[in-house]
Amino acid sequence: MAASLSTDIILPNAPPDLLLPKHAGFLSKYGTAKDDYDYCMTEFLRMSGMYWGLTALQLMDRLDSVPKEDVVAFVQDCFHEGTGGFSPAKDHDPHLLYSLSAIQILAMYDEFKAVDCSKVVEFVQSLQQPDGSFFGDKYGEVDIRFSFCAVATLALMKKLDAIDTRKAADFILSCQNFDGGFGSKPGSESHAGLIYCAVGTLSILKEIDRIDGDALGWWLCERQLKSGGFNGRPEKLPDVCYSWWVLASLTILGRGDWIDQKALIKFILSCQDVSTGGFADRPGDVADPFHTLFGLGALSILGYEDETTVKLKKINPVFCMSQEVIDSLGIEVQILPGGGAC
Amino acid sequence: MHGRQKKERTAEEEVAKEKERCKKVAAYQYAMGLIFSKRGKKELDEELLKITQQVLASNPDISTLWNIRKEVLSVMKETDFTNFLDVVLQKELDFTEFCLKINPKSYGAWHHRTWLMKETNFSKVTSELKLCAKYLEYDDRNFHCWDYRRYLVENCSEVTLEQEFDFTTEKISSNFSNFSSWHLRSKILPKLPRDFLEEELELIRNAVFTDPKDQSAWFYHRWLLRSQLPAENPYLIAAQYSDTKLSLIFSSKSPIPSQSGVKVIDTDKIIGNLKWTNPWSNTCSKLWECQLPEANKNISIKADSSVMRNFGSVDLSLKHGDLKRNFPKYFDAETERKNDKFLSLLKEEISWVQELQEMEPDVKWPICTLIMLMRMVDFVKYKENILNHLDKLMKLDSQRINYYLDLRSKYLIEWKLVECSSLPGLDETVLDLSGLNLTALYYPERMCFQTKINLSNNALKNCEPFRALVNCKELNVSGNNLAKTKLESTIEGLKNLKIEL
Ligand SMILES: [Zn+2]
Repeated sequence: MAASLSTDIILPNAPPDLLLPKHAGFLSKYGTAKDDYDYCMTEFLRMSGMYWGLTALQLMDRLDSVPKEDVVAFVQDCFHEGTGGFSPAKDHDPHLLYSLSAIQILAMYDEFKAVDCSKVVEFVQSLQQPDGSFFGDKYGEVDIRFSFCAVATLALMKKLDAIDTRKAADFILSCQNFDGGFGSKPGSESHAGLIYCAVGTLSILKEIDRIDGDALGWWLCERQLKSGGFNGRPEKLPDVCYSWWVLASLTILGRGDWIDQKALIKFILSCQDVSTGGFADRPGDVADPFHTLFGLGALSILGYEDETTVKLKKINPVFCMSQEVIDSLGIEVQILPGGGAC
Repeated sequence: MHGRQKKERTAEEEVAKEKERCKKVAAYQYAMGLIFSKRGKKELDEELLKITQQVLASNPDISTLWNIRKEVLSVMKETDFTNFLDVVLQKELDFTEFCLKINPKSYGAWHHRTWLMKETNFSKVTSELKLCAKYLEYDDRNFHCWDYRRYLVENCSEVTLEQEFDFTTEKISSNFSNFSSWHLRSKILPKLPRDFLEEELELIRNAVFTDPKDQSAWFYHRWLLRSQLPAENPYLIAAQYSDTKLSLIFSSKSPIPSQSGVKVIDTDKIIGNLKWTNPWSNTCSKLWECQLPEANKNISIKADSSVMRNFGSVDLSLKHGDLKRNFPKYFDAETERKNDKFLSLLKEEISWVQELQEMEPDVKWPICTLIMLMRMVDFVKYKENILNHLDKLMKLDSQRINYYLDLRSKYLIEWKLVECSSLPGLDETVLDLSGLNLTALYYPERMCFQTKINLSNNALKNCEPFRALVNCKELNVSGNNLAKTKLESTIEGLKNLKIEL
C-alpha cells in the first residue's frame, strides 16, 4: 500500500517485473462477464474501453485473443446511420469521443469498409464551429479534446481536407496559457491531458512548430515528482495516465529525454496489480483498462525491456496506437526536431 | 477509474458485496431498458425525467441520459415557459447539484448546468456564482467549476473585472498554492486598466517566502516579468544570395516569408511563385530558403519596416554572391536591452530572490528564477553566476538534468556567438565550440555563415540542427554521441563538406 503525502506518494520498495501475460489475461477477460457490475457501470464509455483494451493487447502482440468479428460487429452496432457518428454502446448517443475510438478500432483491423466512412466524415465536419473549435455532439459542449478527436478521426481516414484545418489549429493556440500549457477551452487552466490533445492535434496538422517547445517542454518535465510519476497540474498527485499524456507530449516536442526515464519506469511498474493483472492509477488502487493502456504505452515509448518479457510493440505518440498500424495507413505526424533545432 | 483503493474483503463480505452488486446491475439494466424504450416511443415526459434521475444519481457520467433530460426539458420549456422558469429549472439545478456531490468532476453534470443557464438566459446567475464559490471552497483546483464560473462571468454583467480580480486575490491569500487562481489572474491582469506590477510582485514575494517549494507563484512570477517584455516579432537579420539560392535568416521563428509580406524584386518586378523551404519542413522557421528562377544579377528584398528594422531601410539590395547580415547582440526578448526603469526593478528582484536562495539553499525555484533574472539584466556580465547556478540545479534536481544540460548548451552558444563578428561575407575563421559538454546545438541558423566549425568533444546526440549549416566546409564533430550514418543522411544536402567524425 502506498503511503500518501500531500502532493506525491512513496512507492512500495521493489517494483514487480512487467507482467505481460497477466495484463493480457486481465484485458481479454474484461467484458466476458456482461453482467459484471463494473462492466455495466462503464457501459457509457464502452467504445473507448474497447479501444484501450484492444490497443494494449496489440502492443503485447495478443490482439488475436479477442474475436475480431465480435468487435467489428459491436462497432457496426454503435454506428448511427442518421448522423454518421458512433455511440459508446447500443442505444446511447453518438459523440466525437466514441467516433474516434471506433475509427481507431476499425483502423487496427483494417476494416474501414465495415461502415460508411463518408458519413463519419460528414459527422465530424458538421461539428466544426466558426472559430475552428468542435462541439462533441449536437448539444454544444466545446473542448480541446473534441478537436483532437475530430482531427485524429479524419486523419486516420485521410480526410483532413473536410474541415478548416487552419482554423482548427488557431483554436488550439487560443487555448494556450501563461505557463505555455493548454486548457480545455480559451481561458481554462493548463492540464497535461489537454496539452496532449493540443500537441497531438497540432502534430497531425503539421503545425506543431508554431509553439515554443522549450517553454512547454519545461512545464511538462516539471510534472515529474520525486516518486518518478507525473502529475497533470502543479501540486497534484501522480497518476499512471499522466505518464502517457506527459511523455507522449514531450516525445512529440522532441524532448522525451528531459525527464528521469528510469524513475518513471519504476513508478509505472509499481502500479501493476500483481494478482489480477492490469495497471491502476496509483499503487494499491483498482486496475482498469484505461490505466493499463497508458502504462504500457509509456513503457513502449521508453523502449522498456527486461529479460523475462517479450518486447512491447512500438507505439505512435500522437494516435496512441501501434506504430505498425499508423505505418500501414501511410500516416506521418510531425515531431519537433529538438536538440536545439527547435 | 481514479483514486479507488483496492479493498481486501473476507469471503463473507465478498458474497454480500456481490449480492448487492447483482441487485444494482439488475436495477440498472431494467431502468436503461425502460428509458430507451420510452425514448423510442417519444414519450418525453416527467416519468422519463424520474427514471433518468434515478440512474444518474448513482452514475452521473452517462452523458446520453443527460441528453435525454435535455430533450424532455426542451418540450416542457416549449409547453409552459413560466412553469419551466419558476419550478422546473430549480428542480433541475438541485438535482445536478446532488450529482456533483457524488462526483464534483462530472463532465455531464457541469455541462447540464451550462445548458440550463443558456436556455434560461442566465436567469439564476447570482445563485450560481454562489454555488461556484462553495465548490471552490471544497476544492480550489476543480477546473470544471472554474470553467463554469468563467462561463457565467463572461455571460452576465454581475461581476466586474475588478471584482473578479479581487476574487482571485482572496483565493490566493487563503491558499498560495492555488495554481488555478494564479492562472485566472494571468488572464485578468492584461485587461486591467492600471499599473499593477509592483502590487503583483509583492503578492508573489509573500507567496514564495511562505512556501518557496511551491511552484505556482514561481511560474506566475516568470510569466509576469516576461509579459513586460516586447513581443518577439520576427525580423530579418541576414540574407545570402549565391548560385540561384536565396537564404533569409530571421531573429525568431517566422512564418513562410511570402506570408509575412517579404517580396523579392528583380528590377522593379516582384518575382512570383517562389517556393520557400526550410531544412525541417516546418511552418515557422528562423531559416528560409528558395531557388530563384534564374541567376539574376541584382535583386532586392522588400518588406515592411518592422521586418527590415535591422537594415535601416525597407529595401535590401543584393548582388549575386552577396551575403549581408546584421546579427543583434542578443537572442530573444529576455536578453534584449531594457529601459532603465525596468532594469532597476529587475535588480531589486535579483536581490530578494538571492536573499531567499541563501535562506533556502536546497530549493531549486529561487535558483531557476535567478537565472532568468540575470539573463534579463545582463546575460553576458552574469555568465559565471548563471553557470554556477546551473551546476547547482543539476545537483539539486538531477531528475531533470538533461533539461538543464540543454539549457546550459544554449547559453554557452549564446555567449560564444556574441563574440563572433557581424561583418558581411562568409566567416572563414574557425567557430570553436569544442569541449563544452554541449548536449544540444542551439542557434544553428546563426552559424550558417561559418565555413569552419569545431564541435569536437561535446555530448551532441541530435543531428537535426546540422541541417542549417549551409555554408560549412569543414565540420569537426569527433568525440560526440552522433551516429555516423544518421549524420550523413541528415546533412546529405550540404555540399563539399568535410566531416571529421
Ligand atoms: Zn489516471
